[in-house]
Amino acid sequence: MSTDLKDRSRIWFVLPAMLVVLALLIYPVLSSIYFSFTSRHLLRAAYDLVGLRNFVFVLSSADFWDAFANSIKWTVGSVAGQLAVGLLAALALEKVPRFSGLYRILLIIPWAFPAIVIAFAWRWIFNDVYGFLPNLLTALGISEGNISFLANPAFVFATVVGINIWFGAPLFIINILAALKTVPRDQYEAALIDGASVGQRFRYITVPHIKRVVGLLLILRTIWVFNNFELLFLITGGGPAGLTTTLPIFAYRTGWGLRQLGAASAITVLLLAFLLAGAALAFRMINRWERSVAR
Amino acid sequence: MSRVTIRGARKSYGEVEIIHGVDIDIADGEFVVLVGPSGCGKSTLLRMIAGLESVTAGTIAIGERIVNDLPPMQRDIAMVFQSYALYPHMTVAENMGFALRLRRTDAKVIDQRVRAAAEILSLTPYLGRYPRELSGGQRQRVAMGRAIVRDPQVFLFDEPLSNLDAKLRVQMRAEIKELHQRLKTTIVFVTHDQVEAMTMADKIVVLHDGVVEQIGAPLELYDRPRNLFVATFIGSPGMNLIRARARADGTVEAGGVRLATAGGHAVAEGEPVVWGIRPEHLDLADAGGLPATVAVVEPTGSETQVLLRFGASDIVAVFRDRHDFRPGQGVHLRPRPEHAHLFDAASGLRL
Repeated sequence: MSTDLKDRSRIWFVLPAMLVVLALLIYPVLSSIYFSFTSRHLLRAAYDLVGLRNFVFVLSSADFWDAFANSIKWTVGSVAGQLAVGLLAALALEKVPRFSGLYRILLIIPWAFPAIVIAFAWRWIFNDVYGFLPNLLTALGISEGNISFLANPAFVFATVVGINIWFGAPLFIINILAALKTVPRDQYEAALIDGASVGQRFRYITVPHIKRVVGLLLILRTIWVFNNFELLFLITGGGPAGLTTTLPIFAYRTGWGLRQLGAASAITVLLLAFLLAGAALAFRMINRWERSVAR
Repeated sequence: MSRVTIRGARKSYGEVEIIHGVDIDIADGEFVVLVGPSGCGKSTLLRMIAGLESVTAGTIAIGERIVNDLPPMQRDIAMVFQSYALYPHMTVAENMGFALRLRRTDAKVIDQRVRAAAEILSLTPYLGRYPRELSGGQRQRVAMGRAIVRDPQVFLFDEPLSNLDAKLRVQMRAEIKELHQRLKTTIVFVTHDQVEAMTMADKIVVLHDGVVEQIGAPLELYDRPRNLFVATFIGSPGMNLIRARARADGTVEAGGVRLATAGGHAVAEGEPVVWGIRPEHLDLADAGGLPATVAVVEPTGSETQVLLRFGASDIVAVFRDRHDFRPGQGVHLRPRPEHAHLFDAASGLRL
C-alpha cells in the first residue's frame, strides 16, 4: 500500500520537468510537422491543409538544393577541420604535462561567449577597411590591397568555415585529450617492445581507444553545425548572393522573409529527417564499435 | 637465448640517482629474479634492460651487444607487464601475433607460431576471444604467449603475478618455472615477493635503495645472508635478530644469556654485534637456552608459528610438532648454534 502511494507520488516530482520538455521541445517539433502540411502564412490567421504541396514546392526549388549543398559543404568542411585541428592539437598537448589546467580553461573560453560577440569580433577582424587581418596581409605584401574576406565569393566560404573550425576545435581538443589520458601507458610500451612505429602505435593503440569519443563528437558536432544558424547568419547573413545560405538560413528566409511558414516548416522537417537518418546510421556504427571494444 | 651483462649501471632522474651502479651477470638460459622492497629500483632496472628507460651511466649488454642506445624493438626481448598490457580490441590470437605482424611475417607462419604457443599455454580454445572475456590467469597466459611467439633472446617479467589471487599465483608460479625448463630462455623476473624469488629463481639479486645487497642461489641467500638486510628480507617469517655483545670466548651475550655460533668469532670483547637465528632453528628445552614468554600462537596446520618475547626483543619460532602453547606461558628455547648468524652491529655485514 505504501509503495503504491510512493509510486504515485513520484509522478508529481517528474511532472514539472516533463511539462517543460513537452512545451519547449515536443510541441514545437510537432507543430512544425503539422504546419509543413498546411498553407500557413506568417501574418494570416487562416490556413488550409495542403498535403504534400509544400514538400513538392521545396524539393523542386533550385534554391533549396543550393542551400542543401551549402549545408553539406559547411558541415563537412567545419567538422573535418575541427577534427583535424582538434586531434593534432590534442596529440601535441598530451606531451605537455605542465599547465594542463590553464590551457584547458583557455581553450574553453570561446564557448563562454555569446555567438553575437564572436560573430562581430570576427567581422571586425576581417573588415576590409579597418580589419586587422586584411591590413596585416597588405602590410606584409602578401596581398595587393585589402582582401574583403566576407564579401569576396572566392574567400567567403573558406573564411566562415575557418571561423567555425576555430570555434569548434577546442571541444575536440579537450575531449580527445581526456580520452588520450585513459590509454594505459603500458600498452604503448608493449607496442614499443613489439616493434610498432609511431604511426603503428597511433593506429593500433591510440585510435581504438579514442574512436568512440571521436565518433560521438563527430555525431554531435555534425548535428550542431548542420543546424547552426546564429554564427553564420550573424557573420554573413547568408550572403554574398546566397553563397553561405545553409538550410537553416534558407528556412528562416522562407518563413520570416517570404512569410511562407508552411514551406519553412517543410524545410525544417526535411532537415530533421535528414539528420535523424544520419544520426541513426552513425549511432549504429558506434554501437558496433562498443561491442568490439573492451569494457 | 642470450646472457645479459650489466656493468656499473646508474639511473638518475634529474638530480636524484635511484640506481647507484649495479653489476649483474646473467648467464645464458638462467632464471634470475630481481627482488626487493617497493622503491628499490628493481622495476626501473628491468625497464632499463627493456629499453623503456634510458641508462644514465654504465652499460647493459644482451649477448655480446651493448644495447644502451638501441630502441626496445631491436633488443630482441619480450616483456610481460604487471597489468599484462594486452591490446583490448584484438583477439587472443591477434594479441599474440601482433609483433610478428608488425615485422610483416607471413600469415601462415604467424598462425603456426601462435598455435604452437597457445598449445604450450593451453590457450587454444580461447584464441578467438577478446581479453575482456578471459579470467586473470588466462590473461596472464596470453601475455606470456605474446612473449613466447616472438622467440626472443630474453624474457622480462615485471611483477606479473601481483594481480592474481593467492591460489592462482602459486599455480602460475609453477607454470612459469615449467615454461622456463621447457624453453630454456633467459628470464629476468622482477618481484617484491621473496617467496616468488625463492621458489622460481636459479639466481636471486636482492636490491635495496638502488644497490645490490647480494646475488646468489636462493638457498645460499637463505643460509648465508651477506648482511642484515638480506637476513630479514629473505625468509618468511624473517630471521630473528638479537642485539648482543661479543665475549672473549667466542660466544655473545644478550640479556644475561650466552648465545653461541658455530665457528665462534674474533670480535673484541664488549663490541656490539647482532646475533640471528631463523624461526625453524629454535627447539624447545626444559631449562636453559633463551627464556621467553609466549605472546601469540598461530597454527597453520602443517606447523605452528609462535611469537615470543625475550626481554625487549620479539622472537618468532616455528615448530612442526604440535605443542600446547598458551599466551603468557614461559618457555625455554634452545638455538641450534650451527645455524646461528652473527652480524656487525655498525655495518650490518656478516661476521
